[in-house]
Amino acid sequence: MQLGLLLELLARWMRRDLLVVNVSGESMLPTLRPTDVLFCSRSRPRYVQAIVLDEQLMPQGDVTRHVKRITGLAGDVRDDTRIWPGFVWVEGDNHVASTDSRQWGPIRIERLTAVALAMLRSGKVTDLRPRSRGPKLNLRKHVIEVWRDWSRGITTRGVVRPDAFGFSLSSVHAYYPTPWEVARQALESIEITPEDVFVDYGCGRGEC
Amino acid sequence: MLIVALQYPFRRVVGIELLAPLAATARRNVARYPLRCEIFEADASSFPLPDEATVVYVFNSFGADVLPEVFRRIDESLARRPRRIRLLTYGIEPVTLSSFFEQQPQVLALRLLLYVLEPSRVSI
Repeated sequence: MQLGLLLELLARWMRRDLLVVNVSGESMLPTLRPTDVLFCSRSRPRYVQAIVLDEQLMPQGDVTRHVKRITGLAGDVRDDTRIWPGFVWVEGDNHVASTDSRQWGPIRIERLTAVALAMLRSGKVTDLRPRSRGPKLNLRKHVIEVWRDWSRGITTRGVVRPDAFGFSLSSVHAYYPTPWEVARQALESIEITPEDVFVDYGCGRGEC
Repeated sequence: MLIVALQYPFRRVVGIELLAPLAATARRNVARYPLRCEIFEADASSFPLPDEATVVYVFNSFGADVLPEVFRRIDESLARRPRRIRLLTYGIEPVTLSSFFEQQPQVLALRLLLYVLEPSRVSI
């Protein structure tokens, strides 16, 4: 097992970003078999690869997690349907056994909850990360964030999911901070006087 | 965003957060600005926008059912006290927003949009 993958899994686990899924069902054969274990990142997938959809977000009545592959992005046409911005097309690798976008239609991007990083099968770990580009952990950014929190005595890191507090994910999204540079750019671009009052809807931990 | 906003000369900075643990952390994070910053633990869809608010930031933390309610609160506040509100949004699809507002947003950064709202020009 490569050191890089191990480090990434460890780092993501420490950031509470790691999701471990037991595979059941045959919709992703031959890529994934029942009893395989998937290590996933909760970051939103950006590229075409195996992904996990969350239980609460699936069409009504469906209560299991689904592992599918993104096979179409906005603008593509699948089954005579043009995929709208904000949606993707997902399919299982095993077309015969899989229920997916061919029945559901395009899926909102918000419904993609995790992206597969690695697979564990009979003691052997396989790297599932895309070769060239993918949701890699940005070590430099990570170090800067840790230092920023520590030096200011604040807590800003980690993803908080509202479903852990009993809120439905369809009405409240997981909390991610706005990037600092974006926040600063926004406030630089408008004129602010001491008369102004700022209101942040959904402020999270307050950092951004 | 609150901590960044506190670096600017706002008279008051208000945060609204639904989840208690996040609100508690936010309070700790802004504890050094006790007079200028307030955190409310409330549901954004029912929290009335303070009528003194002039800059409003909406992050994409809301689903399709809550977002219209948030804009309705802004609209109500504008009706109560006509004024200019600058609305900043991040991570919300322009398509979603243009169904609320007639005007074109100013694009500040990737997916960061600015709307300047005036009472007559808001349509929800």
